[in-house]
Amino acid sequence: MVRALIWKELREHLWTVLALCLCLVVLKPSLPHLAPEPWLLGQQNHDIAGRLVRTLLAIYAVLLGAHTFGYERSRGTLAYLLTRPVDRRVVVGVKIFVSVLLLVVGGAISTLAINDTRGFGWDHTTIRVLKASLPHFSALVLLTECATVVSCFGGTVAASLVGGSALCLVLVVVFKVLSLGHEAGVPTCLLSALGLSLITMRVQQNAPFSGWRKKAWLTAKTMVPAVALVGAGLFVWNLYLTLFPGPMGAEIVRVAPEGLYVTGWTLRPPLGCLSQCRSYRVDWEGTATRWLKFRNVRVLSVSPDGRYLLAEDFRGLLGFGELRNDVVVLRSDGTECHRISGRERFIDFAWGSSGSKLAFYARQLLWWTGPYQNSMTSNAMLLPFEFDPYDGPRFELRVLTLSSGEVVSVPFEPSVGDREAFSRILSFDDRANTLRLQLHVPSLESMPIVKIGLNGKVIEERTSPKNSVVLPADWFEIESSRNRDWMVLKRQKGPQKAWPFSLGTYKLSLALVHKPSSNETQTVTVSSPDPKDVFFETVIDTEAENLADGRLPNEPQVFWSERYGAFLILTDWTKVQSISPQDRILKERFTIRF
Amino acid sequence: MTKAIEVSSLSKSYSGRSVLKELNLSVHEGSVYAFLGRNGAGKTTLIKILLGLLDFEGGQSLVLGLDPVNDGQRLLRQIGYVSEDHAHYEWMTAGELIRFTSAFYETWDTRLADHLSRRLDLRGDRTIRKMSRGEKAKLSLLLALAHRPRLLLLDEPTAGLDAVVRRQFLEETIDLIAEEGRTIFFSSHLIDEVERVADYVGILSRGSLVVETPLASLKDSFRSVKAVFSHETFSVRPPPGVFGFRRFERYVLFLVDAYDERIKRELTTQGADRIEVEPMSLEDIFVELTRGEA
Repeated sequence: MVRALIWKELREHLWTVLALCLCLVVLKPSLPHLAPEPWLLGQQNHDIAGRLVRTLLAIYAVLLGAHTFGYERSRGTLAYLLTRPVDRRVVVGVKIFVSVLLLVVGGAISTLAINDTRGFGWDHTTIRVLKASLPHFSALVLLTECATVVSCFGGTVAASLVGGSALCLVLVVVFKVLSLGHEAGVPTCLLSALGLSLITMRVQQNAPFSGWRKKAWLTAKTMVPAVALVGAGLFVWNLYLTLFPGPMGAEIVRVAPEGLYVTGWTLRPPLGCLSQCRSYRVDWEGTATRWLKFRNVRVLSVSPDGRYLLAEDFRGLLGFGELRNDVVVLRSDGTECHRISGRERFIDFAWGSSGSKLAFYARQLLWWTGPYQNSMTSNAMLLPFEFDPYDGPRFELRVLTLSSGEVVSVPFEPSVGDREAFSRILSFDDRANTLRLQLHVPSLESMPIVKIGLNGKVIEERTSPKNSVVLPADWFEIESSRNRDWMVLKRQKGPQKAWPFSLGTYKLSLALVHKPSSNETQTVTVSSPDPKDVFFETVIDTEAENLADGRLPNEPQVFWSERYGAFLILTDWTKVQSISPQDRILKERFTIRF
Repeated sequence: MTKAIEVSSLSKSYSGRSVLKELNLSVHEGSVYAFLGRNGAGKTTLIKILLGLLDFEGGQSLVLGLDPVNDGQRLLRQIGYVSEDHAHYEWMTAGELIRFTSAFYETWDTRLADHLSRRLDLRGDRTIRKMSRGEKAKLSLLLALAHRPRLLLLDEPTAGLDAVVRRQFLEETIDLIAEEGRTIFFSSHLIDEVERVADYVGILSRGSLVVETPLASLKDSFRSVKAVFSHETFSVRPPPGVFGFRRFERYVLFLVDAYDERIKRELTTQGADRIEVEPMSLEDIFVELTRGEA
């Protein structure tokens, strides 16, 4: 009997699977055109093609759920099936089993068909577009379950599709916005899926297939205790974390003269959600004190004198991502000094050499596919942005006097390039009132560097090749010393493929190398690190899904410290070590005590 | 005689609209029971309740001595059900559907299924989507009979079939079932087919059974009584035992069960000049009993 039911379900779902395959066949040739730019290969978080495939799988998941009873109802065969002498739990169980099985099959087909697509125009590189993972799969199961529940309630396929998606959204809002356990994404997803499965079965066992009031009552009767149980557990868990934060980790670190500004986390969900972060200030002894209690801010940069901080104010976006709300200048005590942008904008900035002024510009982004804190590192990388050309003048370069809050516009408009040209602020000498800008014009081979006064007049103009620093293959610069003669490079190898959850190992190496020259007008070639240059190596087990902005979870952070004249390295979320160019020996400095 | 179906004080409503009101009904084992009512009267609702597909607000229903809600699985093993729409998995062939259905029944008789298939002229390799409505009805009958059920529930099985197929369907059903002494409970609003096959008739009107009796006695006892008056009829009162009446200017038509001297005397007392008593067809009885029902 069960075999007959499984056979029927598989045959009925055949067209759904074929539709998925057809979509993949159509999608595959177009994927290379949607794949990210070559310089973003390390930035796997922004893969458009992967998102497309995941969206396709999400639709497929809802369709499977809606199909569970919706198809029978639409065809009028439900009464036929339910008048056979079979336990309804078996019927529902088989339907859910087949749905989940086909979800796995769909995921496998998508992975095999789409993954490892060759990028358009650079066929030497393989782009991973699909990152199957347990949380991702749980979310798909949740979608299927939601649509199944709706289809149980008299919905046809179309109604179940809409209703299931809405129900899933409601659950996500409940779990995420109300902070019900969104620190622990995987258990939430699994619990939800399991709970919904049980509820579905319970409903089917007790309630007949019509009489919506009775069904709603029975469902409420069974759902309320289940939801209350899960909700109460998550609430207690959150309460516990609030009262006893547990082991904290330093996620984002910025160096200031008097210590470190740290964004700390208690747990790290697969998708970063800044509403869970807390801001700390850490002295050079390693003692952390809560700096900002309630604001979800991430410190971008600290002024050279340590009196001001540039910070991003984030807001959780229903748990799916983060919306940058504002960029603000804060005083070191955490109070707001000046608000720079009130919209989702790209900010580039440079502190004045004395720390009394800040040069910046903010522009509306049309599309953003890469890292935006270009001034946090001083390496001359290309910035993969697309600006909105209709959003006012190109630069809107301004200078803020930090003590008074006075803002002065710098009337500068580059004479070269097209609409997509933009500039980076390389440095700001607030004593001489001069700014050094590097212009990026996609159509030009060079990147002109101009020195201008605050009146917008060009004082000096030079050209620099685009690739002013040529790094050895596989190595990426992650930090430079203040005068840019030493740099720390990173190499990340892996992971080994292991479907379905892409569990694999990455080998991470850090090397301290000398940069021959810092003359920006020349192309500088950095030699490949000697094995003795590699001062730190580690192996990190992770899911591919957990790569945020191309970074591995618990990846060591490296930052230059003037105080020590050395690079500081944060490992294991709390341990701070240092390595100086002079002795090139890794030393323990302190452990952050939250 | 044991009861195949026993329903007492059964009530069911949809969104506040009462469909079945305190319904009482009993079907003897081995009988062919025709359950009559107009469209939307609640015939399908009752059959779904008997199958355990619907819950109800009040009362009790026992089918073959079992509670359809709590003993659904045991009960469904002993029931054959043919729905009004003959909805099957259209992508299957007849043979696939027969094999699929057989997986649910331990008592499935493959030889009987083959025999029925030949007798009903069904081709196993034919996709259901391509079948005519008559063929689908025959397939439904085969699926309902091949596990040798004790009770056959037919919900308007011949609706939408032409006269020839309808007659064939009913004859086959009766032939196949009657020889083994099984019970048939079928709903219909087609009177001629009922007259041909039913032993018992129940007529549902406004949520209740207005008549439940052997067909023969129904036709014997129901009479149309025309009482002609020389004066206006607005003051004429219906005598006791009258099911319904219609008033005209000079005469009144009464529908009575068991016409007798008492009724005649009552009408004469009220000034009837002439009384004409005529036997009624089942269709006339049905129309008169369900007249005015929404």
